[in-house]
Amino acid sequence: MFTLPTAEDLIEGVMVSLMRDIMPELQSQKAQVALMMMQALLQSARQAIPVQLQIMAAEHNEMATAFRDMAGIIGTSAGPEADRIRNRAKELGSRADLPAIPASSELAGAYKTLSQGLIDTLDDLDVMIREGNTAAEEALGRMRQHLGPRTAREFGAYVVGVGMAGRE
Amino acid sequence: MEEGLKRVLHRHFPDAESIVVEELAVIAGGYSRETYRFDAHVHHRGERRVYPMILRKDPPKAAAILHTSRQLEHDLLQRVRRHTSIPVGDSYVVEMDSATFGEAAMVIERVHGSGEPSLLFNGGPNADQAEAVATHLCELIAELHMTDPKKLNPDGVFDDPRGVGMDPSRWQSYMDEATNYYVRAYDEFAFDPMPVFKDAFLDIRRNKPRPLPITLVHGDFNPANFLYESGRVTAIIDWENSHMGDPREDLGWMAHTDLLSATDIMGSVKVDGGFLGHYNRITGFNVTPEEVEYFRLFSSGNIGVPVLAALKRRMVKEHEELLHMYIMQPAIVSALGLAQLLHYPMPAQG
Repeated sequence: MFTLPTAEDLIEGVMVSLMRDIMPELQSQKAQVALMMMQALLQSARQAIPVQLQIMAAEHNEMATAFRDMAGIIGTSAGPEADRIRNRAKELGSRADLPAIPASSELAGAYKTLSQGLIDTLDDLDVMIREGNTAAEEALGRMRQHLGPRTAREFGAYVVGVGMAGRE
Repeated sequence: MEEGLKRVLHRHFPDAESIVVEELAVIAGGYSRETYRFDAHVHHRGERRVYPMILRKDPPKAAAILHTSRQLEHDLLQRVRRHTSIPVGDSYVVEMDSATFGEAAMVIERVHGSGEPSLLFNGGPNADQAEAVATHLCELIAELHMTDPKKLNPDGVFDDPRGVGMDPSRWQSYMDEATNYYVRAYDEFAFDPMPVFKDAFLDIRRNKPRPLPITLVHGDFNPANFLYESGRVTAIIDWENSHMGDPREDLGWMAHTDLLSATDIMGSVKVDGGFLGHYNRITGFNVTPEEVEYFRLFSSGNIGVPVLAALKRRMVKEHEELLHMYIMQPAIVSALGLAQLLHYPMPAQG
């Protein structure tokens, strides 16, 4: 995967273009208002993307703790409502915690460090292959075993349709 | 802009009593230049003649994708018209003074014909012309490669038009310099680690094919860079990346972009066993499919280096052009294409 541009960068690029390239061409007030609403929604997505998964994982674990705590506070209270709260604590409060997801910037930094290591290794392998080292050829093959599926995943994650807009 | 156009056109029509610019409109599409269409009404000795024209203007420098010279493109169009039968639009005038249009620009003939190759394929309305157009296109690129380079490049200005140290005096030196340039340029365009591109450029430097004569190559021979009508190519356009090089560069880039564009230029030629067979019969170069694959990688470097450098300039916010951000799409498609050409193990489809 590319660490750049981030999803936020892509959305920001669209937002800038909407204001600079599209807004001046809009004739009706209705269209102008719609564009401003689009800007707000895009900004919302831009803010949510880097934190949404991390927050959901953390809050999942907080909720499970809260279920257990609430059942403890209710204690031995009688009645069907109290029974249901204790049952929820057993069912939902006993779920295993989800692993914490690193912050997007931390994850991207770690990924980028290893990817840069591949670049440096390609340079080293190139020298060795040119010197006739057949083991280096094999090592390059091993790297390509990683890069093939990675490139296919990248394509699936980023590319929209076929062809290039404006190149009909 | 209209005043600027009238002023520069008077250079081409010095005897005109008046020149009127009408129907001036921007043309969408085209990645590297800003283009406008217009009609020039030229009045001379009581007669009025209408010239359909195109203004082809450089974008602001930071936002430019390919840094190429309008003067060289103008000169080349005139040489191609003079020395070949390849249809190209006439280049009327070039304006290198950025005071006139904001950046350097040229005014060229607006040639008739469709610029929509997608209509030729996939059951499109012009599908009945596909074979004839693709065959004609094959013959034209073969003609370009067979034209004496001394006629098209007598002054050597196309030896190294990017000024990156190319030496086309011999095939070996050209290929050495070109592949060294791609490897060197990696650091200039890699806004993020891009191992597939790095691997590709190192691979083509290690595994060069047999030599062929150095010729003038179009440099961006792709399915979007020609016009056609009634089963004939009416113009090959966008010569800005022309240079002295290996003729297989044009074949490789066409093969590569044919896939990217979901067109089928190379598969539509039937005579002589197909595009390559027909090309080989005309040129005698005996280019193999394996060599075309090599030059798909090579040409991806030729075009890819400046394009990815432009994407990097957008990443670091030298400007805020949407187009440059959009280049991520073809760049990732290209990466997958390179991975396939390098025979990376790929996951099964499904």
